[in-house]
Amino acid sequence: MKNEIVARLENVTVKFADREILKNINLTVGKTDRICITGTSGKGKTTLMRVLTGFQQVTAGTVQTAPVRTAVVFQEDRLFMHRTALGNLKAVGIEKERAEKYLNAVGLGADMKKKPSQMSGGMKRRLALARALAYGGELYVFDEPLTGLDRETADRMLELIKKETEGKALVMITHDEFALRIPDVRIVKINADDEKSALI
Amino acid sequence: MTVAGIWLAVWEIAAICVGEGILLPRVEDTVSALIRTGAKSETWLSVGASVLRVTGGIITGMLTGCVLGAVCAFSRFLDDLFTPLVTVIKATPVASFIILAFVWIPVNLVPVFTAFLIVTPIFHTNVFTALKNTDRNMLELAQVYNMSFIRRLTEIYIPSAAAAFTSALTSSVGMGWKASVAAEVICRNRQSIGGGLYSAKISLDTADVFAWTVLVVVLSLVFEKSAIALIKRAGARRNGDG
Repeated sequence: MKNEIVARLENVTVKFADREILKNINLTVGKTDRICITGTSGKGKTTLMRVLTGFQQVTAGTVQTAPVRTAVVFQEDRLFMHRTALGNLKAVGIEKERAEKYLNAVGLGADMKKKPSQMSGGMKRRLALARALAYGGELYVFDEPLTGLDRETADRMLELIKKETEGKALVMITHDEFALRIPDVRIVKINADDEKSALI
Repeated sequence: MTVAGIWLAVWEIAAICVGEGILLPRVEDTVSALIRTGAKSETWLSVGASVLRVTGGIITGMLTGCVLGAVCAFSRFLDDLFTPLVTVIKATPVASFIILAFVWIPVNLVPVFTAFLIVTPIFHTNVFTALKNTDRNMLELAQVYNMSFIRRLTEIYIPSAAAAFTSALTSSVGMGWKASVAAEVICRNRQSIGGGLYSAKISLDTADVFAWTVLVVVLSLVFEKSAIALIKRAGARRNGDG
């Protein structure tokens, strides 16, 4: 694998029981690539993200990933429910000052002492995003980070994602409308019509 | 208070219907016996000794059960090794343990050992189940974010097991008291609540038996509430940073 490549999937197929979730997927992620994965729900986008992060075994094909620091926003928020917003960032080893900076950036500056149970769905999503951005890394893997946000907030969060991930690898599942607003983005559509084969 | 009043009324009516204090003493007779017993200094020496024994048994059982539950959750081999033992302990009658312990160890330690044996499986089972059911999603998150073992323990495993731990504590305090006092009665520990119960029994003083029983129930409740309050306080302090 060349140095500038952080992940490469070759002819990856994933089956659950007899059901084919992904078929012959080829994907190469360079160290400054911005890739958006789009498509209707239930077509294997999240499975592809799980393959990329190493949590999903493949049925066939090969997966190569470079040992780079990776920040992930999962499909679910995956927050520490016993911790406050600030504590959720500190729990993964982020320094207080840095945590506060990113909580402010996502608009949770006034809610740092709130626990996830006291937050709305959109606030929780922004908290998960703040955690990933504050953690930082060479590769950002975001699974629908703008879900549950109102239009204005989603726009602000997209700008933040663009700024914070500049010069780094970004793989993000999102809607076309957001994907098209990311400069130099490669859009990968996964859908049933092309037998779930991605054209990369 | 209303509920307590209803049950006291039921007790009083039943005692009046039975009409024999030796079978079921009236509430006021039990209260008198309680005041009489409480006025003796030796009662409080017995209570102190019993509290020490029960506390010793519950704490050692709690620690052993937690450690055992945790190692069994993480190691298949240790699980296979210890689970049959825990199952046998759970199924063995308390009286068998008391009689065997009476033969094996000093009489003063029998109530401690009995409480220990009752409490250990409760914590083992609860902690084991909680750790086995730890949210896989959070463990994946910990992997992605390179969380150390200590952080995983404090941020994921312990919070995951906290509810089960509290539930185990609630059950084991009551069970520990019951088993320990039963051991004291069978072993006739001199300075103990069980000893007081035994003396009341041989002198056919049922009101006195009730008075000692009320004392055990109150002590057990105080123990349980204090332990839960301590856990809550510790949890609040730990999460205080945000």
